Amino acid sequence: MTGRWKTLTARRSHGCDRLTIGRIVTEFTALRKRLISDRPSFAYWGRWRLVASLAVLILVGAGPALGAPISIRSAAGHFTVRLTGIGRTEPLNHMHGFNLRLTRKGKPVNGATIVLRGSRDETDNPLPTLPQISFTGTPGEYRGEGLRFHMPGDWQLTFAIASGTVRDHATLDVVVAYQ
Amino acid sequence: MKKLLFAILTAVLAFPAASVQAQTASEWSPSELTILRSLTLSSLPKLPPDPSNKYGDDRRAADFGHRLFFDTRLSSNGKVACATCHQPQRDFTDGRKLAVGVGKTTRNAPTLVGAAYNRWFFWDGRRDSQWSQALTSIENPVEQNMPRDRVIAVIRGNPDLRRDYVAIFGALPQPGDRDGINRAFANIGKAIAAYERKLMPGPAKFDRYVDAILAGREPAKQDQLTLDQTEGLHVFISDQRGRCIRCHNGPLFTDGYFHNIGVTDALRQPGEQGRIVGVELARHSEFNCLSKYSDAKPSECGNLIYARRASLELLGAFKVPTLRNLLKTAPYMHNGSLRTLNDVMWHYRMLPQSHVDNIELTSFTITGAEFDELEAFLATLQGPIEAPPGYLRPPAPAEGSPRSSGPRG
Repeated sequence: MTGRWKTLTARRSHGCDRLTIGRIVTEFTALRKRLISDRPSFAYWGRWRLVASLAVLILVGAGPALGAPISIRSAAGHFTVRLTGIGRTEPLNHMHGFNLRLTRKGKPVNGATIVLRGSRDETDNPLPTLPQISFTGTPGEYRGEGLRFHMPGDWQLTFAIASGTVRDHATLDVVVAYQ
Repeated sequence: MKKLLFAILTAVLAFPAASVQAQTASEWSPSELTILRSLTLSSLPKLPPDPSNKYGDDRRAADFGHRLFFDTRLSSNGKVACATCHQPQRDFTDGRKLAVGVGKTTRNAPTLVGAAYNRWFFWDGRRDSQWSQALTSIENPVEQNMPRDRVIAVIRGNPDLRRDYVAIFGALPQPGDRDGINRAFANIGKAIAAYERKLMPGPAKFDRYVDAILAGREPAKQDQLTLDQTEGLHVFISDQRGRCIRCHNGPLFTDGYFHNIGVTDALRQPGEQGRIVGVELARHSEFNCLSKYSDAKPSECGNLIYARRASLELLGAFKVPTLRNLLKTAPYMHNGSLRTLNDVMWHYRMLPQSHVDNIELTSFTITGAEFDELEAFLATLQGPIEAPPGYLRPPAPAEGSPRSSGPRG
């Protein structure tokens, strides 16, 4: 996949985010108009504030650290990797950890060996760190530590997975952006 | 008729000036403005604590470190202090190609301004904290050449130093108490680091310019970038043209990492292996983040634990220096081989042939004139040093410390 394609893909994905945000705003506006026209009671306003607060929480949660989980299938289709704490857009020069859930045919996979490597597309620079991923003891749940991107641009993360005799890899394209 | 001609002439002459003024407000695209914001000191986060140094933000330790920094008694010949190679008037460098301590070193003295933000110290990152860096230089035979037990003996033997040490760290160890001496030696490094943590870059012309345009106002006259500087900044942040920002990113204009730009021959020149060796030295240092002399919990040593190592691209890779205050920190590169900024530009223009195949430079599409503009832009990063009063000069000599002195010229 070329860098340009990745950027376009990322933009599309951002477009979806914007669409979702747009829907939320539209719905709030309609709700607010209806409440005003109905001369809302204090309880109505309290409910509106609660919904607004939840919306803010959702929007804040859309940041890279608390972002919605990303699910990717491995190349040969053996595994599904669900990532939390890694976003499609990643911050520059910020060391952080992440959670990974590994399943096969819908069932959690325990005790797999997972190695994460990353590469910057255009220059082939590797990650400046060697992140480590370890099984937490909870079925299918793994914890990754030590992820950092030091250069802006398009990166590809590769999760090499070995469980018993099954080996496969999953890739995730991310854009490292200025903050 | 003459009046009309004069008016036309005036208008024609005034036009370029007007266009220069107009540039400041609309010169940059939204994505460029995002990049510019990321480069200003306004985006520099508050200095986080160093978990390995619990005295790092202790003002008494910083004052003590200030005295130690300038104290030539911490060298075998009584003539060398930290400040010998890190002189405040030269923005904490020494103006030499290679630093000279008790002997001649093989490295250019880097600036200490803003260095507290670094994750790695020395050009190959052989240390993971400022305090362990200071200890290494004190003991290095060509720097201060002072074994740790003699350092502690100096502290013990001088009432002024002993008083300050005991007030901050407690009792000094007995001679022969090896672990106690190691711990006290680590404390000396931690005090020096506490001082160095106070040396921060102040806003340069670039910062004031960007702050103004981001605030939607015209930069003050003295903060306006010239056309050359503006063009140089465009080249600097362009991922297609200068590509400088790939490695020189963030408010300190460094990614804090290690890259091979072909300055030396890693395979043929002894000691030029760079990061591939440096990371192993850091991992095995007796004063690293995971050592018993560190105040950090293991979980706070992520930089060391997850450091990339044993990888070919680290061969011949050296630390990316800050680009702030370059005008006072020549010569450049880890071996001081490039005397001027113009020499640095020529290094990139000539695309050195690396002796290993992992050099990161590829051909540039920018012109010689654009290199000149790039150089013009870099001058806008010269700013003041922000530090507590008195920290930019030697401390007043305490009673009984006649040899406490400033740097050699």
